[in-house]
Amino acid sequence: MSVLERTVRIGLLMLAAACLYPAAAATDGFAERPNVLFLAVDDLRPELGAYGADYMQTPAIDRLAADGVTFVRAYANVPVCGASRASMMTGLRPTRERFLTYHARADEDAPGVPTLAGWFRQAGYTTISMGKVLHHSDDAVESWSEPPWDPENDSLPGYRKWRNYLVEENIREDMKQDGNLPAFEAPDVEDDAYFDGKIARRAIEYLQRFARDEVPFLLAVGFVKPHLPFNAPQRYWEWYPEDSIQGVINQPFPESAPAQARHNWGELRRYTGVPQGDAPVPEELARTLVRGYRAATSYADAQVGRVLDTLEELGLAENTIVVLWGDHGFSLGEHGLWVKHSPFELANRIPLIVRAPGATPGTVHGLVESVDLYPSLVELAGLPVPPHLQGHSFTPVLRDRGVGSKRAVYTRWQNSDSIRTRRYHYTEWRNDGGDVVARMLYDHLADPAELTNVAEIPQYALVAAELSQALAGHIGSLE
Amino acid sequence: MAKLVSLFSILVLSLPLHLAAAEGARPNILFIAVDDLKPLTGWYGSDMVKTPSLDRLAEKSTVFTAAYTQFPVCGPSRASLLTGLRPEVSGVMDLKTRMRDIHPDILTLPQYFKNNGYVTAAAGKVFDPRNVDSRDADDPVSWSTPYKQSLRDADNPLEDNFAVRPIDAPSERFIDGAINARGIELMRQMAEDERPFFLAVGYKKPHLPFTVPRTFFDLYDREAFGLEAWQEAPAGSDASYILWNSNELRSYVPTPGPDGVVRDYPEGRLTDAQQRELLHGYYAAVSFIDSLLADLLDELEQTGQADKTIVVLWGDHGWHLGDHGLWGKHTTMEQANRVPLMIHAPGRRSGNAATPVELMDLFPTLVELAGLEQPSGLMGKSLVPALENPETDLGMPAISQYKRKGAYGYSMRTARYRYTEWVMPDGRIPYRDLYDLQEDPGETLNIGDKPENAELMDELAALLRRHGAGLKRLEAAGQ
Repeated sequence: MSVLERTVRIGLLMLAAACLYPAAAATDGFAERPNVLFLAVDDLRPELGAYGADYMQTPAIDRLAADGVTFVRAYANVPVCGASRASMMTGLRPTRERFLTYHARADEDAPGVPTLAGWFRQAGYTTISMGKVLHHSDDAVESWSEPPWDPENDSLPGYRKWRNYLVEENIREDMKQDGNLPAFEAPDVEDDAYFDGKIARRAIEYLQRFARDEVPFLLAVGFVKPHLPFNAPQRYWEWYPEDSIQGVINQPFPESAPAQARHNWGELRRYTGVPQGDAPVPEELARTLVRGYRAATSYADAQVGRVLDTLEELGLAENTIVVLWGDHGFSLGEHGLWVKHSPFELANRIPLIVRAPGATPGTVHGLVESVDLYPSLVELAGLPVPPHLQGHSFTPVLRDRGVGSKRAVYTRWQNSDSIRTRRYHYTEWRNDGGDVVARMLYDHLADPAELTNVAEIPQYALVAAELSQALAGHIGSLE
Repeated sequence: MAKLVSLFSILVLSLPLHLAAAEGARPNILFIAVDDLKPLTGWYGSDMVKTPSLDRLAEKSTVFTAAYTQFPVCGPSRASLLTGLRPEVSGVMDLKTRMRDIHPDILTLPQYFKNNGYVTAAAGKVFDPRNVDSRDADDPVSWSTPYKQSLRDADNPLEDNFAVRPIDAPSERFIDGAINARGIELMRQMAEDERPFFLAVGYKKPHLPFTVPRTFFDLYDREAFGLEAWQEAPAGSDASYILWNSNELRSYVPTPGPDGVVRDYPEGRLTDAQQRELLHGYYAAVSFIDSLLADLLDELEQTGQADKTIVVLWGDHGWHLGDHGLWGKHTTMEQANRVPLMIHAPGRRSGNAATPVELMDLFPTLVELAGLEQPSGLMGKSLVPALENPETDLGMPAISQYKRKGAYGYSMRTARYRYTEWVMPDGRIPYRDLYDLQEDPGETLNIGDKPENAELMDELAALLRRHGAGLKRLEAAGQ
């Protein structure tokens, strides 16, 4: 390939990075002033029936997918709760300076920027938040018509803690300074005993009110499972019997991956039975954790189902855009890693399903990222587009799979930056001086599980160079 | 002289097959896997495809015209064939379970030959790399010569996921060219060895993407490809079990039009132009592999080993090329499960064998041909009677299986019918159907619901159960 040809291609890739969908009157045929029901599910990876995982029991999300548009290749822009949510809600990308940790705040990292909910509120919508939407319920409060509601408010007097155990002994331990924290529990209780059931109940009440008042609304409902601890009513555990989890859960950290990609999953180490230091989770506990994650996923799915059923029953479904969004991915022993906090595919790929009036049900295989949600919802609702947004609307592809999609999306974590194309994932780590100190490249065509880093293999030199240049161009464009 | 020769061949042919082996001169095995190759060759009846080497091999082989995979996905199909076990018994039912995580001591076909004094080696994709210890080491105990991964070069490294792409580079710069070179290198080494050899060569095309040297695209006129007439679910069938949205294809994109914008395939039926492009790509990829096979078989002649080498060639499953609107495998239907299978055993009769057979049968067949003792526990049958006389009716149906909607679909092919039963974990059977391949080779009409077929359905259900060893959900329900 000539230098010219390469230059042209890199230029094209970068242009595509700016994502130019063909011009189209995107809102043609979509509803007027539709409502928005935004369902955020904490730590939910796209291992769901609708995503081909036939061993999962997720009937509600599967039903939503059947009527909606499932994005198969959707990514969070940063793989940690607080930062991901603040980035999505402001429509701004994470950088080395902002949206870095689980406790990132939209109103600190992006002061004065109208949030997605705030923009709808200014346009006359009633905007309501319940459960975990932004990480801090007092973040960007002017976005909401009422102060965000946190289920801890409804907790038993004397035990208002987010881990929300119901087994008495576990509660006692959680109250102590340094008590044992079980990573899961499975009491025989009703759905509403845990926070997510209460959140669903409250969402149902609000939907009833909206149906009565006939005001346009944006209702953001943040479910807290399957986040650790994997507490879920017993019956959801029964869907995943012990012998349903086979094989070895703890995989080795791939030799070819840079050490920088490795982390010690500190979040999980806080829990009972998980060894300190850098020892792996004992195999039996690892299997139980996988069961627990699945049970908690099915529990969250059931709460999603209650809310969606109500939407239907009240006759609101027709004029309501429904978004189901995971804030980032999750590792369950793959690469020897747990939880999120890495640039690997598993920590960054998210479920994203959009059901919108006028959309064509089906799947989108093109790339999309969390930061695209804000412009898309604004466009779907026919609102003016605020100038600060860094994502691009995916509205056209909801109706017509024949329109283009992004050539690349960009995610980042701590001092690493990644570019993901349909085929490749390339990550670079830089030191404070801006020099690249480590990198990795995966060819998903050959290696979707990201087991072999090919960044240093000669056959991939051109690919690595091209992606590196596109990544640098992207970062430069944000400065 | 001619008379003498024919007298000699009669003498040789009338010797019991295992006699030569018993005298210590065991045959070599050249074991050739072709990824995603359906029985689309000249010998199998296509006027359009250009496959001179496959046809030359067929001419001197027993060609099985009713051979079926046990699971129409690469990894599970290969694991089943290479262990001689049904998928639920091998434990490999997806593309991520590592065979030895489930059964650390499972015996593989090459391993058994290795244990019996063979030198064993592999080039390319024999096991699916996702179901063995690692992509680099493959399944180390199977090979006496350590496995070496072949790497790509010209396989379109800079392009992102175009499904079809002619490339201006010679064969040796493609991964299959590298695999062939490695296979030839191994063959030369092994021919020098006193011990008999088992050489496995696994080609990776015609798997998607159809990115092969332009020369092979030039063999065909794209406009000459006819499209499948029946591009919807069979009449009277439940499409939710029969169809899927060809997700594998949809992770690729069609070649962009003049505007250069990359677009997804549309939902539903592909455009005629997209279909012809895919057909062109698949045919070109088949011809590419055919050309490599010519070199491999020539090399076998060169080494002087040809007359003591059994050549086996198989595809790991079929491929829907637009029939029923499908593109890919992953169904319980004929086109996803029927495979090419030919066995050339020097001195055996050649001809077409129409008796239904399974890929799982290869393990006991090769063991018998090599004069080795049958290891215990194999679930297939020896095909040697059909090699002695292609007219032989082995009297067994061929059973494939797939999963969908939480159910396992057990699909049984008799000489005339395809009968499929979907079984839930609790033994419930939500759906069954039946196709008469003699009257309706395209599987366009489900006749399972017709009252006059009630008895036939019962008979076939009973036949499935009789031959259903290793179909665990049936076994469980029967208890």
